[in-house]
Amino acid sequence: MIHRLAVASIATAAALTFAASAAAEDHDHHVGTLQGLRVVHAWTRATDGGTAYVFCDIENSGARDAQLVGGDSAVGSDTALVGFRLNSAGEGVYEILPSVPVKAGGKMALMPEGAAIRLDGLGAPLKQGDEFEIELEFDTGHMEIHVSVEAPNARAHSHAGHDH
Amino acid sequence: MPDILSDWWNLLAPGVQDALWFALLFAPALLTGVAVTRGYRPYGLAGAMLWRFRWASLLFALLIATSIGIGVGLIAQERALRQGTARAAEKFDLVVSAPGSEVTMLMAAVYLQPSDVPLLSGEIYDQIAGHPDVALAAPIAFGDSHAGAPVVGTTQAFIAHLAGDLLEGRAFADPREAVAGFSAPVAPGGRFTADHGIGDAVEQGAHAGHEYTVVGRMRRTGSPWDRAILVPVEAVWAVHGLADGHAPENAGRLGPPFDPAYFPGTPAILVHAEALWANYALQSEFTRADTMAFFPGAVLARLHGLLGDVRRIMSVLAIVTQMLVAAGVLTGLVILTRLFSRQLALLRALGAERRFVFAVVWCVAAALVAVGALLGVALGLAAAGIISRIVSARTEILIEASLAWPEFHLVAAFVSATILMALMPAAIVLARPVVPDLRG
Repeated sequence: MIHRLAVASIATAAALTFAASAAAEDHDHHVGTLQGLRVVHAWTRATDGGTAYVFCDIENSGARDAQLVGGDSAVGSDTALVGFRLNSAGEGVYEILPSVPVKAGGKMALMPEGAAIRLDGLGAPLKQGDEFEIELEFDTGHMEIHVSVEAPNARAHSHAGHDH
Repeated sequence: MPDILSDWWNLLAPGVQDALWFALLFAPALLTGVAVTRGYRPYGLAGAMLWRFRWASLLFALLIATSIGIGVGLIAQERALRQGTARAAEKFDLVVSAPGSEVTMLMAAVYLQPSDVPLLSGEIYDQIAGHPDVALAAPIAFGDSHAGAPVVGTTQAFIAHLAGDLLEGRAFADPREAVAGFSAPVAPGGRFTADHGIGDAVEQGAHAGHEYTVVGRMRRTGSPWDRAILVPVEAVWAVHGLADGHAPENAGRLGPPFDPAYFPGTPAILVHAEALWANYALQSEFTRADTMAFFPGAVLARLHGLLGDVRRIMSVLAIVTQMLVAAGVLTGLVILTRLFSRQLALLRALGAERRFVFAVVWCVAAALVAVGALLGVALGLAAAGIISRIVSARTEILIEASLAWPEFHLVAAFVSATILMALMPAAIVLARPVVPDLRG
């Protein structure tokens, strides 16, 4: 009886450990790092159109300022760093930005109606639940990150608020 | 859409795309008209029939006009609101305030709607004003009023940023001088004393003894700032019994640099950077525990999104209404044709071709739809214009409704759909037996 209980306990513990590590792996999936830079919660909206905007949170725990200068991805033919502006006609337009600084010890959020990575010429529709890779280009190097495809009307990553 | 067509379409200018859409939507009406009337001149007879039943025809046309007017007015009004509010916020690149609701601060700092908000300290102002990427950091100290108009403490540089050169007079150069907005209740040369608070919470006489003289007037901005009276921020602090932002050795100085030790606080700071990228960097830097930095344009875009959702829902209702009205009118037309069934039967007995009679009846229906649609566009524009004037008067935001392609697309789609539907009454008339109709 005691032997059975011990086996059951070990099995339960192993299952829980596996589940926890799977969850951690899933969370780590959303994190990219490079020389003190950490990018989390990269996401975009599901779309059938030819353009998508990628948003993420960038943290710079390094000792020097970094510059985000753009990105690259196989899902689109063209990638650019852009910034949102509401023009006098009341229409939101995105303008190409040369770079955006991420101060040492500071954060930068790419978000809807803000700065974003624009992917033009999408080869296929992006469906909710899909994931793809994008390479962010900083002045200090390149970083591969996973982008989650959220609902077409999403305003944040589905893990936003989770502490990675 | 095939890729080659999609690529070609994307290369076209937006105006050309809109014109092509209009042509595409209107084409069914035009082609139907050409096909139905080809080889005949049914217009005189159709006109005579419309005149014979002019009051019923007018009623049908007005029904169509009303339904079109609702749709056109709705679209034109939503766009006018969107453009007016965007124009009013155009000069407010980035606003820094104490943490709280972005919408509340947008309404308070950009649209001057009274709100009780915490103040930012002199240290925070100093950090912002001294930032290498900041071209302008202007305190916006609201909370006082005169004759219902907001009295806002700020700097000369903010006035220049907001409205450019003054329309008349000069900028304030003394704590007892003020610059009036374009439609403020005081004119250059006028004197006034500000009241504490604004709206229902106003305390008259609280600032007695501090009289301002208006020395200049701003150009029109199309925003609530047109009704505001702008005074040196030092004067706002002084009338509230606070330090004036400058150390005693700089007493009487107006504008920056301010001394953090003598800076009583400001509800909001307008931040302007020359480059768009710098605004994003500043927003990130000043989004922290003690400050909130936001783009009024971004908040407005989100509000416009909600407005657009409401407009889309109402547009669907308007289209359904239009279709119901069109169906009602055409049903009425079928009934109307019974009234002149004898004349139509006579025409056919005299040898008129069936297609000619068909064309006459279709022309009557098409004329009602066309006249109703044109009247509807005028009605919608007039209604949007009246609503715009009322909203402008209440909010001081310049709202100007005008016609644009979406309205013409709506009308073209409606006209095409109803003109195709008008084939039915024409066909029903032809199905009627000639002899019984002749006997009446």
